[in-house]
Amino acid sequence: MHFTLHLTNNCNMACAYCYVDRSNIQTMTAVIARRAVDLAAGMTPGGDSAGIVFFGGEPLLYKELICETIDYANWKEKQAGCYFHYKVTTNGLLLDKDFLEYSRKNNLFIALSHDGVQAAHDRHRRDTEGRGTYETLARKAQMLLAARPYAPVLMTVNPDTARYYAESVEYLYNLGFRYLICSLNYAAAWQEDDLAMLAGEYGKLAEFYYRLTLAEEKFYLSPFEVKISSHINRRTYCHKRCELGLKQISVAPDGRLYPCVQFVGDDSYVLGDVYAGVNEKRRQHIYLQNEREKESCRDCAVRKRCNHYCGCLNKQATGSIDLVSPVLCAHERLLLPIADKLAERLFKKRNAMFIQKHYNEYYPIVSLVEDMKKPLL
Amino acid sequence: MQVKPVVNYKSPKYPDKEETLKNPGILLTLPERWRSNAYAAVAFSSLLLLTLTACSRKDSTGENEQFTGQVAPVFIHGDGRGSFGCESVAPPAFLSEEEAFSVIKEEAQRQGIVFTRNAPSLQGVAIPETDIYVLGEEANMGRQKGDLALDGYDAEKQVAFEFVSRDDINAWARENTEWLSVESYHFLEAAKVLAEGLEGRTKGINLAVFYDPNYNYYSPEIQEIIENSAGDFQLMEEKIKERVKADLQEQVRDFLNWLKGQNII
Ligand code: SF4
Repeated sequence: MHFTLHLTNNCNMACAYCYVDRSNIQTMTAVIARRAVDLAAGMTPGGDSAGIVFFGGEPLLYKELICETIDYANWKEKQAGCYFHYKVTTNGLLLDKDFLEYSRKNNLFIALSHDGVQAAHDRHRRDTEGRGTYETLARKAQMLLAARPYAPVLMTVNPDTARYYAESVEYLYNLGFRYLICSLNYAAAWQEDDLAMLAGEYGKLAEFYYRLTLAEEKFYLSPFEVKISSHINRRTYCHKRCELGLKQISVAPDGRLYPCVQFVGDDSYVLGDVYAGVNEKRRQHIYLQNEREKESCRDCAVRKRCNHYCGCLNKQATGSIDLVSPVLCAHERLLLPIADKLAERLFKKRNAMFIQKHYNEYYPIVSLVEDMKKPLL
Repeated sequence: MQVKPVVNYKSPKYPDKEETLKNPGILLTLPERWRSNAYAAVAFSSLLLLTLTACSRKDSTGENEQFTGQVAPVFIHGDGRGSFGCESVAPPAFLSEEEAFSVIKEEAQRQGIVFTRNAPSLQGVAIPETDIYVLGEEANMGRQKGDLALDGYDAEKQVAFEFVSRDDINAWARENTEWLSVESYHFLEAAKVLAEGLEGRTKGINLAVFYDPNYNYYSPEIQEIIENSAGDFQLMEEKIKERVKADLQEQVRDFLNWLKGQNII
């Protein structure tokens, strides 16, 4: 179970595609954050670890609140015998040595939003004065990776940056990121030409992936990993997808609870608040509403491998969890065959890295042992 | 732009996890970087042991524990799809039982396995219930109880195979009130259902389920053949046959490698 604490809707950047409503700046109080931790402890089955995710706006505007909340959660662990793990998603501008050291000591996982090469990044990711943040971020990213080498990077692709997709992924990889999570801004006005461009970029990325895998490099490139997994783990894959409101809850700055990040502020999706807890009936209702097969996809041959189930993506793109975005559909249709062809090539070669990464459930453990222990001489 | 459901999607030619767990030997392929790191190699082999133990424990919970024979995963070479009727502009090039037998026999002989047609029957096993009058890509496949006369057997090595042919699909078809002018065949899907149904019921025989590798008319493989045959139907048929025979040979080769990996041959 994850609790995403929307610490604030305030931000030190003004990205063109940001969906956060900043007309009325709100910030979470320490009391609400603590109640959210209590709720997370109570709702997570014994023995499991609850995730506390700090989100915004820009959560690092309130570093103290993050530290206080983690202190409280650490205390709670001892009191209530529960477990927590922590993550923050940041634009990176406020990362500094002290905070990185703190994150290392407290096992706070840091995910950085970064859109890749300068032409792509600076097009949308600008500060409040309208200046691109690429230059500043290059230094911050290096600092982050030196302290936290497993930090994931979150890249958003827009129609006007699609042409830099492959170049941007390579750039981020060369910076040192090994967990590359790439998503499309589905709410943007994508045209057929942009999608054709995207297909070309995925072709290049598939080559990149192929080369790295043959060279036995370890990395995670989300578009391909997810689609390949949708076939390899097909029996479990459909059950692990978006389970709206069941596995994650978003806590708004005012303490109200929502099923996911895109719903924060939408009254029709309130699940309760940190004081009264979750209205289970409401949660079940929303979950079941999202579980119903979408009318538009009922006869699709790839529906079991498709992302159209994600209520959050649908909400972002169409305003409704039941309406699938045509852009999402087009993206799935173009990505799936490229990902399958890539996997077929690697499997045909019986590539050991590919086989271990995708078929061996202990791959992450062996990989970690390898990273921790230098080769014996 | 609109949401556009995909009508046909070829089953990818790499296995899913369940298929791999039936043939965990594939997990033994070790990246070089782990080979050269003793800690990783040790972690790898200890954890792999857990996986293999879990697999064999799963196997031994079957109803017929006394039978040690295994069913190999279905090795995917060829779409295992095909249709017959007015839609099919290319000539039908299904492999007959006889043609398949001779391809399989020849390939297996290279590894010292001598298949004869004198093969045992497996009684009361789960076999596919097929539907040949189905539109679209869904196979609409169920299961039914029945007997299965195997297609080839090496009594000395206790190795046998079943080849899922067009005749089989017709024999397993459910009573259908609807009739269409196009017959649709899902060989691969049927092979998977059959292999699953035979699990733990092979009477000590190590068994492969092969299937007719054929392709849909609209598949790139068939389209390429059509383009290169200049409207000569006989040439088309020959080329398609050649292609599917090569795919079947690949299925057999994978099976033989699997037998070696399992220390059966
Ligand atoms: S979104 Fe498109 S590709 Fe996905 S299931 Fe629906 S119709 Fe199929």
